[in-house]
Amino acid sequence: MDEQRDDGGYAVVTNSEDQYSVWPLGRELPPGWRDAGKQGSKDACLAHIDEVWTDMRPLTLRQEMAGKTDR
Amino acid sequence: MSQRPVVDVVSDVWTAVLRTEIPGPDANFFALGGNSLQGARVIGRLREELGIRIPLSVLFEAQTLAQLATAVEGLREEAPGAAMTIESLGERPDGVFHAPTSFAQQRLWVDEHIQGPSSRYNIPVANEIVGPLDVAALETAVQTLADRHEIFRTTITAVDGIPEQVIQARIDLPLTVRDLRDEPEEKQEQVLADQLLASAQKPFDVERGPLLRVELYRLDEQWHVLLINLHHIITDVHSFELAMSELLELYAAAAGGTLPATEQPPVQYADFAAWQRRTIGGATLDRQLDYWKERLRGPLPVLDLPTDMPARETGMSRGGSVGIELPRAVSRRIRELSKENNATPFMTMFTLLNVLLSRYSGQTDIVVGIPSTSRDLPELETMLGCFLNTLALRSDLSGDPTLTGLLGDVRVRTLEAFAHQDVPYERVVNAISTDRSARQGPFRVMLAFQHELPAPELTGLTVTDVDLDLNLKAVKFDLVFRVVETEFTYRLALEYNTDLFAEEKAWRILEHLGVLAADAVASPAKRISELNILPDVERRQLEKWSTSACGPYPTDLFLHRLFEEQALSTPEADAVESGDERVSYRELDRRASRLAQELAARGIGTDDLVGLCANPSVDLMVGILGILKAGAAYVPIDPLSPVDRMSYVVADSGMKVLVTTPELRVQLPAGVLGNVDVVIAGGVGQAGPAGTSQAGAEGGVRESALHPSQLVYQMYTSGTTGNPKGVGLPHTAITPWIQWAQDARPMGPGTRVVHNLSYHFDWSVEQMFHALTSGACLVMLPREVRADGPATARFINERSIHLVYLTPTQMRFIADADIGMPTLRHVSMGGENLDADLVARTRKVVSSECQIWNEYGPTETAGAALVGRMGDEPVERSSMPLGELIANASCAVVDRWGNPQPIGVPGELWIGGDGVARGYRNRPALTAERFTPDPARPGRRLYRTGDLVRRLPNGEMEFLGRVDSQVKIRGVRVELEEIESVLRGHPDVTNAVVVLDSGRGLVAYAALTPGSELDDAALRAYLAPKLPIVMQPAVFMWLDAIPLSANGKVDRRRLPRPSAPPAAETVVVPPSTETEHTVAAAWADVLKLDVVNVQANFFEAGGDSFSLLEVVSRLRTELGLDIPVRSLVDTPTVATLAAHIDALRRTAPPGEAAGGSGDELQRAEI
Repeated sequence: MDEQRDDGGYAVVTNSEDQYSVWPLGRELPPGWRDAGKQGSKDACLAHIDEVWTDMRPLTLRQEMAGKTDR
Repeated sequence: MSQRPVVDVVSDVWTAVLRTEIPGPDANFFALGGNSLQGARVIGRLREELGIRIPLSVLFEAQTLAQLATAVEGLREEAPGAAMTIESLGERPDGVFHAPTSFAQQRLWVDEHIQGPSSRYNIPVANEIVGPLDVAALETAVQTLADRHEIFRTTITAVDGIPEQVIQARIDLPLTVRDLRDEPEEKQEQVLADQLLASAQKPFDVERGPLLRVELYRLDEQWHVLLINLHHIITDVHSFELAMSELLELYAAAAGGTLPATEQPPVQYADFAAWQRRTIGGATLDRQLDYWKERLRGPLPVLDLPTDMPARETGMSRGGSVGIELPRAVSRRIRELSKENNATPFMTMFTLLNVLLSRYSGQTDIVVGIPSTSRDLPELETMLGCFLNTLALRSDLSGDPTLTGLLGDVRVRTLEAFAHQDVPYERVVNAISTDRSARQGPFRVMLAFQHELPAPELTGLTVTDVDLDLNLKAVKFDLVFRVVETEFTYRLALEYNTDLFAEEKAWRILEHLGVLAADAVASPAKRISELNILPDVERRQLEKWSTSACGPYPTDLFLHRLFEEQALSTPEADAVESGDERVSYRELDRRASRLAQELAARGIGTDDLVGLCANPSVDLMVGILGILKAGAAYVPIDPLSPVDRMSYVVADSGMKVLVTTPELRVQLPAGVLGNVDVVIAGGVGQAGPAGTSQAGAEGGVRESALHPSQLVYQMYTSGTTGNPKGVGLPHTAITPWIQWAQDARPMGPGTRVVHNLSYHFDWSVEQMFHALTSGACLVMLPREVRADGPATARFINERSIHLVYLTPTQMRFIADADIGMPTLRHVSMGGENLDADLVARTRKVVSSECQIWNEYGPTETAGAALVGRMGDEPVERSSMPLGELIANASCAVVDRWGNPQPIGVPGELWIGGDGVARGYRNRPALTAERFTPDPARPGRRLYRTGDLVRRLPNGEMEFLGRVDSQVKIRGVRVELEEIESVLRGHPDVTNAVVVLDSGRGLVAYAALTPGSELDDAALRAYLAPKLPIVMQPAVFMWLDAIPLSANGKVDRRRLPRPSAPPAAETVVVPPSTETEHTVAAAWADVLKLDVVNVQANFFEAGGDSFSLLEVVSRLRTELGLDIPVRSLVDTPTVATLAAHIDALRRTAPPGEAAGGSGDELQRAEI
């Protein structure tokens, strides 16, 4: 179902829970997501995500668990 | 030849054709409003003036008049040829005159012969005339028109099987007056409409003629309706326009008392046809054909249209028609955009249509047909007759081009096509067809662009169009878009095949085209994926459907807390029943808490993963609840799964602890667990391992339920390729789903739910927790009973079960047992496609109080996202609706760019809301790819299911198959589920599965009722009328039972492969009888074959309607027998045709034989 474009590519995006995804360049960013600073082909973006998304727990849970440990 | 400067000649020609002042040598043809028809006229006049043939593309490529003049001068130096003009056949004789038919006429004539007479080539137009009409003058005008133009005196007759134009020197063409003045006033208009329709649809007899009918309906003295109806074989739209305006001129003259002259034009259609036969043969034709072969090189795409009804091979179908008008502002922008891009409005509309079709289908290689008229000689500009041909234009929309980029491409392709438009369409189809079984040509959609017929103007009279409601007329294509350019707007009409499309869909398609046009002309720099096609109303409707109507349910709960609350309110109620064992809610809670303490003692806490290996038993539930109470998530490890898979799951999950039972503990294969700690569920407190800390454990457990975004379970799903993926679901995803289940199907103490779904099937969570959070009793079905239909049915009865969750495959086994199950109140099916046949079969074994449900949801979202309750009315469909969104779920049906698909158009289902999984464990990239930002809900994600669905107009969701495993056979999308559903409709077939085998084609696996003697032939005979040929299975495989996976779904990997196909070998049967030899010789000559197989099909051997005529004509002459043209269609092999001819010989009276009848008589005497 995926269509690659002749030119232009994708951006790595992330939300407030530190979850990652990709978004086509040139399209308005969906609300609640910000540009994570990496652009390129879809494969390059996904490879980048493989490197940076090391903890897939949502941020809220991570913070709760860290708070518990601190106590 | 003119000696004037070329630039002056060009300027004069532009002035004449465009009827406007030419500002100077920098003028642009399109900026002055030129269109392609006018372009063709310019080419024709320049040819006449300068004596050279100029390709249309030269005109389009030249930006200015000066550039065109330079290009033309260059051409003149290259090829100083003589002017091509059509010569007259000479003085016409007084009586009857024969001339050859044009290619277009021959094609229509053959088609009419093959299909039989009908009204499909009628071209009727009606005009309402208000005012004092001079009927006598109109009569004179009509007769004068026939006197002037041969084409109105022409009929087509076969001479030795070959059609010829037969032209009378004079005919009487009456104006038939139908007086409706005496009809009662209230009925008058209905009578008029009925008569107009009947007359418009009355077939013409092309051999007898006249092929033109003029009727005047008189409603009162000042009110008439004029109906002019022509057969296509003598006209096309442009000719009609010319004839109409001439008729009005003649009327005006006759009414004014001036007797019109009856002078005939110097060259007429018969001259053109003879010229066409002479000049467009041989090399020109071959060169043009080569172009088309290259452009339409296979594999040709088959357009996936968003049909409402399944496609059937029906040939001619009924049609309907709808129409809209584009706003003036949009229309003006279409003209401007065309000018800016040196294109014509036709090219722009064609581009827009291709964008729409691409957005509907997801395809980027699209072929659309257009009618063309080859009127590029000046004498053809005003000639009456049929100049119609068809061109198949192929567009490449890959790479998401901008609209203007695509328009530029379309422009080039269109000009090329016009430069190769002489070759008859049928020749093209024949040259490119490799697979003749479809014989439908390369496109399903046509675009016809025309200019508005000028409103007839008559002094003292008001003339207006009458809309003939011709909704019953036959259509040859699935969709025909007609664009009429008016002075200020574009009118769009859509003729659609009513066997495929509902009227509502046709309206929507036109609306989408209108919205697309408005957006595209406003922002032509947008990529085609970014253009809007949805009207606001439809967009709002889709948004409304994209969120759940029930709920929202709270998301701050923990699943095990819901159970604990239930245990407090109904402590003594039975919670689980397994064999003879019954455990109360209080006891189950106690055992689970003990396990949780044990796990906590081993360091298990929030969001940890704990393995669980158990058979259906009380301990299974203790295990799940205990793990949840410890704050952890359970990872099912099926005791029966292969060692490799167990090891993989243990390693991938990183589990530190596995919960199991004593009997499974000893069975676990060595080496699987490595360093994993093993805890015995339910063993705690009985033979509890040492070191269990009692004190403080309770507090630790409580604290480990930290945040509902921690996981409930992680389950492993198998893709078709690669390793299984661990999907983790949080409490926020699960609890709304369970709360919904309680609302939808309320239960309480005394309600009994059978536990029959494997606990590694995510849907089992609903089954278990729907029961255990409502006070109901979960009754464990022994594993060995699951696959045994009759035993399951007996179990349901013995244990008085009220609610059962199961896959359609499991239900099929149970329904086939034909054992009534009166206690059931709910049957909920999920995990596989549900068809109507199974719903009907299920109803037969349950009481009328029992409700039947269809639940849908991928593993990556909480169990069920869409649920439908099946109505009581029996329906015939291969896929039951998926129903409505439940429990905080949202969804979108999108194209490959993520744009919402319109109602009724297939798209991928994306599911969002609270039920979305955390992701795939250890697979960040895959997670990022499959879970995409949700533009409608800030910061949330949508899971791309890979399932192909569509919205029905009533809001229901229909499942169509998998996006990535669409099965296509000869380019046609085939729904395997539909074939399976038809197979299961046979009374002897208990279950069926269809797969596409790369070597053997469609393979049908069928399990039969015991004692059935159904065989290949009988099943083929059963399927033949029910399925199109492409959907007929090639191979049948008979199985005792369809293999099932542990989840109770069909296990396709365990289906036996069919044996290798027999060696492809075509047996050539040579002719044997004398007639067969004669027929075979005719074929060999006409089709240029060395060897003729008497069993080969004429059309598959390369025949078309042209060669068909040649063969029939030859045989008529050689055999002296009046062989009907149709006979080669009805009996398309040498053997069958020869037999048919032999039969004709025996029955045909000698007098009826055509030509050579003496020969026939002699033979008859011998």
